[in-house]
Amino acid sequence: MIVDAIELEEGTRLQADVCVVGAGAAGITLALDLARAGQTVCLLESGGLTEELETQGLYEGEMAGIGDVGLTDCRVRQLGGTTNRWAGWCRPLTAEVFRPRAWMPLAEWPIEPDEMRPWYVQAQRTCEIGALEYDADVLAERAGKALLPLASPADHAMYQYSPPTRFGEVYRQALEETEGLAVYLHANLVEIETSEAGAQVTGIQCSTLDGKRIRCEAARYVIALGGVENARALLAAQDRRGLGDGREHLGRYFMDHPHFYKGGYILLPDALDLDLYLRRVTVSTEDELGDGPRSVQTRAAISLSPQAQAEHELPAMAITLRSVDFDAHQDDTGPLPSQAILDVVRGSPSSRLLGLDIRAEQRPDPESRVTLLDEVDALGMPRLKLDWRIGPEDHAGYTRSLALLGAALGRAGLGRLWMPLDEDDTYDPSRYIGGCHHMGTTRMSDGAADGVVDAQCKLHGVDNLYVAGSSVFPSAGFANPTLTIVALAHRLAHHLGGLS
Amino acid sequence: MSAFNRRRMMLMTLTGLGAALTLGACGESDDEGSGPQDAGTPDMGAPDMDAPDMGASDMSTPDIGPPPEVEIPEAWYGARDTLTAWFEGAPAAAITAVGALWLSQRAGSEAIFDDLSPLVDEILATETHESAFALFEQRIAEAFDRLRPTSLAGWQLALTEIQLCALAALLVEPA
Repeated sequence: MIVDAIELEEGTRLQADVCVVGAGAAGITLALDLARAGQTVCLLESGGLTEELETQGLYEGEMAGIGDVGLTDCRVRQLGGTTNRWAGWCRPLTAEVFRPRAWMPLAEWPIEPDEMRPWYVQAQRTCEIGALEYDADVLAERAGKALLPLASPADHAMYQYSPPTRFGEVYRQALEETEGLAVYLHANLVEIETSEAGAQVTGIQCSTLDGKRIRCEAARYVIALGGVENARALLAAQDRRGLGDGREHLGRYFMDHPHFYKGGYILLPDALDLDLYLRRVTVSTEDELGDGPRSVQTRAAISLSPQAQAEHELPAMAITLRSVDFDAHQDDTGPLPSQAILDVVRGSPSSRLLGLDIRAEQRPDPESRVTLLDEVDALGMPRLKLDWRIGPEDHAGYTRSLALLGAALGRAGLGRLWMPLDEDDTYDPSRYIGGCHHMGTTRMSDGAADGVVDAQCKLHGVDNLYVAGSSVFPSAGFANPTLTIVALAHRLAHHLGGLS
Repeated sequence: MSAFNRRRMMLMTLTGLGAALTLGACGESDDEGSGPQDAGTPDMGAPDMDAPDMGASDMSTPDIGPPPEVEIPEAWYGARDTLTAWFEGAPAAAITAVGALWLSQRAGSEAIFDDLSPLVDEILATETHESAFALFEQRIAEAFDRLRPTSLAGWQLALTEIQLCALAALLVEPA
């Protein structure tokens, strides 16, 4: 059922096996899985069925560091959460992201990549995309499209596109009808109540914007408020009474995927078929779930091979191509226009200019962090300050990655690459914008010495408090996070279901 | 005269072509000593090379610093024909823009000499254009195979293809 908390009486006490706070992609996935497994679930959502300015204003905070990550623009307090603005880009994290990368300290996940496979398979269906098939050759063949003859170290990375799934709309009927599940709208988290020692959560206090208090008691609690808001809620709880053992890491290691739209250009021969790179192409896929073939839109991107990333100690990066008008953009490449390069590269065929839309990984950095301000929001919750940082190692990594891709293009005889450089000959950082992919602030680790939650997403040192969402990512890869958020939610539901 | 034949030709060539580029974009030049007569038709001066298409190039003004004065060894001029043939059909403005930018980033005449000498020696050691071209293509392929492109104003190019532009800018007389 879906209930508007505004209609409840002051002081209403809710009880369930599991209390999930936040009804976005993670919260809805988790709540439905748990309820279908026989658990009683209370799902608390700050927003309503549509976006509301006053509720959205609870997100307001302060930005510091290198740029604005869209505290109010990128996040949505509404049933379905930020999927209400999701663009639908999906792909799983590569196996390499989960494993130790010596050149990227603290990036290792405490999960084996193979362990994620069944959850990704489920997540694919939850996100209304095809089978867990991202092999470029397979998808290109099914699409009847050609792949570029890339040379090492360039590689392909395929995306699948969700319609996109608006979780609040697509799963609304299920939320209303699934037995044992109750959704409460306009129920804003204002306090995580804990035991004296902070090792147990005893209840969740919520408030409507008009001040009506509601309390939810459960055996287990899951905070699923989003990549930044999870840290805000836990920091506020920690400030009150202390909470868990990973406090020194809480709020730290904030990551986004720096995006660079038209963050470079390449020249490629006109004769090449770039259909699979420039638009979404529909293919049919089928997986082991046995629900028949599913059509999905796919598109090819260019990345560096995992071997090259390891050899050159690089962050992950993927590049999609954008068709641009040659004459309108050939001077974008600074003192050497694209035509000049075509003219001097002997044997250049008739070529087109393509913009590079780059999505990159950043290293986990403890100084890139969320902290709380003294200022509070309309419900008395401390507002946050987000200091987003990207270090010089990453700048150097982006520069080197693009140079390697440029070499790979030259090696394959395909063309030449241009990137914007600053005075230090490193990739121009003024081109960064955030990707609305907020990650890392409650990072997952084997022990409290390295993170906030364990491999099952339970807070270190707290018996019954879990975190769902991209805040648990220890590292980010280049893949958009929603599919992994949903996969981890399925996994957490399985874990919590097994505990009952 | 020293081992080098001091010439101002290179300087004139670069400023002249720089002015041409400026004219191409803006219709006028503030460069001292590089009037419209220098800017109009600076082809590569070789009989088998097409006239450079200055007007066709819609380049913006290159942000290229003043080129250094270079002492060019007389022997280097033996590479001119090969360069002219390599760049056959290429607009002089493009060749000079690339070459002059790279030259302007060298730390003076000796650095330019040191950087370009090995390539010139290799060109002079070849007997035919074809063998020289095969050498250039091998060098270019090697640069990409070694994953060591050279960044020139953000373009990831093979050093050899840049140096060939630089040599052409130095050695080939404007019309």
